[in-house]
Amino acid sequence: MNAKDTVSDISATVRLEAIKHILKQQFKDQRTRIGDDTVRLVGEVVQLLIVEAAARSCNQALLAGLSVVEMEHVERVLPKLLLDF
Amino acid sequence: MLPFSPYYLPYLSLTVDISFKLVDTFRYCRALPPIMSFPNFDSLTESDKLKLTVLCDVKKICNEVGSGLTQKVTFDKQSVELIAEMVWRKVQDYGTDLELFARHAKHTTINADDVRLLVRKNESLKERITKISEELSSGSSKKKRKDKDFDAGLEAGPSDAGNDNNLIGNFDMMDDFLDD
Repeated sequence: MNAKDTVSDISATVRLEAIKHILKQQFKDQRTRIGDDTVRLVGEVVQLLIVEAAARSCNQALLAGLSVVEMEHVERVLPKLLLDF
Repeated sequence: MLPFSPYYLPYLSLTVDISFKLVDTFRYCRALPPIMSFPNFDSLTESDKLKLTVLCDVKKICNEVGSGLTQKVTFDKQSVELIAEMVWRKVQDYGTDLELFARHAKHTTINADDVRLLVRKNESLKERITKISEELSSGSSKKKRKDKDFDAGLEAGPSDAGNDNNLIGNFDMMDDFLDD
């Protein structure tokens, strides 16, 4: 079904700098640090999370015979998605 | 008390003329400065900006996924916001978890093993992360990485100001959100 078969074909990416800041906001201990390579790994996870969310909700919309993804389609894939990530 | 701003000027005479009490109550009831105050980039908090950045990125990725299918699919605004909200909370959870994992392992710097622990429940994701972390650790001297796009963001450095990958304050899709 997909024209773009692998995740690597998606050229838009999450901004790693933003991910780093969000992670840092959550740290309770000021001494906790995170390296750039690690942020990259987390960025990869987040990227996959977004792509999966988008692809699964696209699938739902197509199953319903629509070409616009609405909120209910995302809602329907959320539980499984959150279990997978 | 209030910062001087030209917006207050037309109202100063009003506040003097009408009873002080009413206007002052108004002012303290709402945390915002009273009448004309337009939100600008400075009035957004740090997390608002981060949230908008996430929203921008999610929107871009969603559009790309949708247009990559054989039958084109578009996303409506609410669904993109829902995904962005989910991602936002998820990354916050990741932050909390990673810190605890690192603390449990008795170091203060989060490393690749902590991330691998984070995705332990998803086998394929774990494999992928392990592969990438190995590539990163082996190729850190050669700078040979699989994903060219991430490299562009990471290695461009501060000299390349035109690259928007690692700038937080760059809201190139902001117009879409401010429209409505």
